[in-house]
Amino acid sequence: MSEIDQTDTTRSISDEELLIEEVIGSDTDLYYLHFFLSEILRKG
Amino acid sequence: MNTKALSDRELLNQYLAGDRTSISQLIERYERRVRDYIYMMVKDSDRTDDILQETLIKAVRVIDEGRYTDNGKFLSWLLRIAHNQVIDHFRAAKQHKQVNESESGYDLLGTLRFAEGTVEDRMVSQQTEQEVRGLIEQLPPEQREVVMMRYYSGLSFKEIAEQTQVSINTALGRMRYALINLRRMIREKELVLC
Repeated sequence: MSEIDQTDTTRSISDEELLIEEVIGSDTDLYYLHFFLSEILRKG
Repeated sequence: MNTKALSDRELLNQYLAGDRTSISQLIERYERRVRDYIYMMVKDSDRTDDILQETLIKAVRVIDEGRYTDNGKFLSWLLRIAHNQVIDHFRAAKQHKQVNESESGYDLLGTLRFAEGTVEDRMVSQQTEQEVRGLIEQLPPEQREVVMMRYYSGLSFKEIAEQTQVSINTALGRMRYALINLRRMIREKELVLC
């Protein structure tokens, strides 16, 4: 992963993109799992 | 007015107020990402273009009908629609025996369709949800922590890094390992995310 500690990740949109680009990449399984977790954990 | 400086929400509001060009600007902003995601799964340029068009048409229709609720995650919403369209595509193709899932690279955890509306529209079974929550508890502490801070608490990676006293890169790395481990455990338990 590129050095990104200087990146402003406080905006929700850029942070979501950061996760998709830096964590998930082109792995469709992880992308799928990411949205699944977003759904089940969001409501707490 | 320089529309590239406008936020997604501002462009949406302009479109809903009657500026038809705003939706084009908004779509143009994310079209490549959506196309890349679709192609990542279907691995066919022609099908990608077809599914992309279906995705965009559906997205605009939902917006026109006032059913889109902006939460600052327009791209995520768009990708979610695209994901569902890809699933529909594979289901239809499978019925006609035109596509082999493994050959196409379609080897996902399940055939979950993601709700395209509000949280209340979700289709996840409670049992599966409980099992996945249990798997999260089995993650190594630092991975479990970043998962909960990100998904449950909604913290940014910058905030996660600050609170856990690591670099953003480390936080992202932990998230990646957490997702990889969850995927492995879900497969081992043969859970279907539906």
